[in-house]
Amino acid sequence: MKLLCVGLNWKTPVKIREQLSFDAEEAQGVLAKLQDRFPNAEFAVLSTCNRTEIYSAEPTQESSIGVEGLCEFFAEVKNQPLSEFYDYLYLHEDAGTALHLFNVASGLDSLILGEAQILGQVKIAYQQAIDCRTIGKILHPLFQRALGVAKRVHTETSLAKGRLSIASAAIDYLRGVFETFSDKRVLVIGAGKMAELVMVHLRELEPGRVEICNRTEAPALDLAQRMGGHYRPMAELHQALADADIVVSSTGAEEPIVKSADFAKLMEQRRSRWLAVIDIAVPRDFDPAIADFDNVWLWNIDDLEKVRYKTIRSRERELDHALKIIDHETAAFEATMAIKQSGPVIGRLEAGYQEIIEQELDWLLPQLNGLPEDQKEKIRYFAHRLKNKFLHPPKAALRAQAHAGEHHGLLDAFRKLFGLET
Amino acid sequence: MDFASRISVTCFVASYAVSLGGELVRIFRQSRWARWVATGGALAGIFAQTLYLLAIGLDWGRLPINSQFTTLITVSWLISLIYIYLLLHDRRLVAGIFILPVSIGLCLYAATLSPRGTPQQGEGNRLIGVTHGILLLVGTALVIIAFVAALMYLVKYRQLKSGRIRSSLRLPSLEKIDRMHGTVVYLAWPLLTLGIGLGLSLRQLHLLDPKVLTTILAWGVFTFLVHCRYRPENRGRKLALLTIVAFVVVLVSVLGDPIFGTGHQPLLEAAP
Repeated sequence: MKLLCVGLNWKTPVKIREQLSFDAEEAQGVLAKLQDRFPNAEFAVLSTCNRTEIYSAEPTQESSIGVEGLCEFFAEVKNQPLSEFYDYLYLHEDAGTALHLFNVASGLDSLILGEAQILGQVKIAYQQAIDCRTIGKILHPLFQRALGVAKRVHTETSLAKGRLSIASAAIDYLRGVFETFSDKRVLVIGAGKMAELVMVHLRELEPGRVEICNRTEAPALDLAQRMGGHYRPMAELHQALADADIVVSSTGAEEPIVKSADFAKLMEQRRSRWLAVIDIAVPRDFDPAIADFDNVWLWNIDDLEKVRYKTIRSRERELDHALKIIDHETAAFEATMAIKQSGPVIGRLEAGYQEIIEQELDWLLPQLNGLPEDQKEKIRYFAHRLKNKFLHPPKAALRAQAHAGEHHGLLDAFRKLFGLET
Repeated sequence: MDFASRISVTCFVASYAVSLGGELVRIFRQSRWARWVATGGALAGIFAQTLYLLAIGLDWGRLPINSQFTTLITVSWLISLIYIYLLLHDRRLVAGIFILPVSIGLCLYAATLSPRGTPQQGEGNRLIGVTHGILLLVGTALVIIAFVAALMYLVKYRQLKSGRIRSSLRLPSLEKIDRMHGTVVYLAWPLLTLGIGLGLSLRQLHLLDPKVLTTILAWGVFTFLVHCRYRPENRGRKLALLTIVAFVVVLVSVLGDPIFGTGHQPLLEAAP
């Protein structure tokens, strides 16, 4: 069996990545071409914005494709000189290929450590190969195992947990205060890029009403239209704050737009109703002293950054655990495949011996005419036992070598010693 | 019920302690085995406690709320039942560290009481007595849950104020805790009011009796708590602190007999 992987990932400059990526239709074409050219091999193509990889598998130990062949094919289908991107390519063989795919599916080879999106992309690549019928006895178990390994890593470690963007961390804060959002009013102060980014995440909470307050009307109206909010002029800010349950602020103001003294009056007007404020502006829009008010939660950009940093640290701490799981799973996959490979050899060996037994019994039994049938049966049984006893040590040795992943030499020896060449 | 008669308070207290140990581990690490320990301990505890109360009930031929000892064990049983519901309902919620100490504390306090109670004949109408007993029992359990909700609220409030949203002590959102608090407070108040009212109707009042005074005080504080919940400006941390005060006063009125040296008038004594 020969497993190969050729590809490039996020470490490659984007100008090279974008030239070598495949969309879904292109990937199908690539699979079809590969199968035409190498009908005995299996193939899968994984292509995302951060990586492009071709996986191949052949039942024989010697590959008809070869790593160089795959690289050249890559260059050919993309119509690019191989020399332009060869240095960026990584090449994996056999167990290295399995290890690499398990790392990829688990998010260990991703730009953002532990990201879960790649698992879905691996599933798509697998399904695509199934649809194109380019996947068989080797890549099927490899991809299935990769999906299982990723699931195990995500379940047994915290590698995929936590928020990694400022906007998504803000959502976690809000979920800590409020349980339902359909009865809540959100006020977004400012209509810049950060405000828009937070609004995209806010939509997943499905708030009751979203209002956008901005100094200039046009960008606020535009954002309100795109995000499904309502524009409110800056002159109405005080009332808008009194009405809101959640405030997201990201203006470019040089000084706080909401001061502590004004806020005290506002809280009286609100009758101390709960208010969650996410102030992502630098300099800050809300006076930090506002955080001391009861029933008010004020988080600034540093608080959100802390969540991000903690998530990264926690994922890094889980890395060793995840790598151990992957190493263990790679060894298990190797052993499974080795046993699968040695299975046909053992089968042929047993069949050969069985044939000899039958021939010898056909010669012997007719000569023992006077022997009762039960005695003849005992002779047959004896012959089978003898065969099993003779074959047990070589079979056990082959299985043990397969478990250790060192079975190739012994398999060849078996083929030659017992005349099992096909 | 020979098996049940061999169960002692130590059996279920030990089981709840094991469960509490599992919950404490879960604060530091959300592991599957720690949750199994917590669940296993809690289920073993509730099983033993149910059999224990059942054996007493069958022995006496009436509900086990006839003495202060059995009342405390039954209140502990009720709040442990609520804990098990929460444990099975939300597998990441670590509610045990708030509820189990109260449950264990009630059992341990009950174990110190002597005599542990005998079937007593109340002074008044049997039906009124039983109703009075059940109302106060459930009301007290709800006050304990309100206290637990208040503690959870204060911890969550602190977590959010300090920006520690990824704390290993996972709690529901503040709004959910507040709703839970509201529900139990609104349910507890009518039960306590009716229960105390029925209790007072069963016997002659001794207004200077510390037990009667603390019961009236507990009702007053709890009524003030209900009043505060209706006013939005009082909601939040202040309300949580007031709930803790109400819990302490109710606890003193329930457990106070040995302190006051009254002994003759436990909260549910009138249940025939």
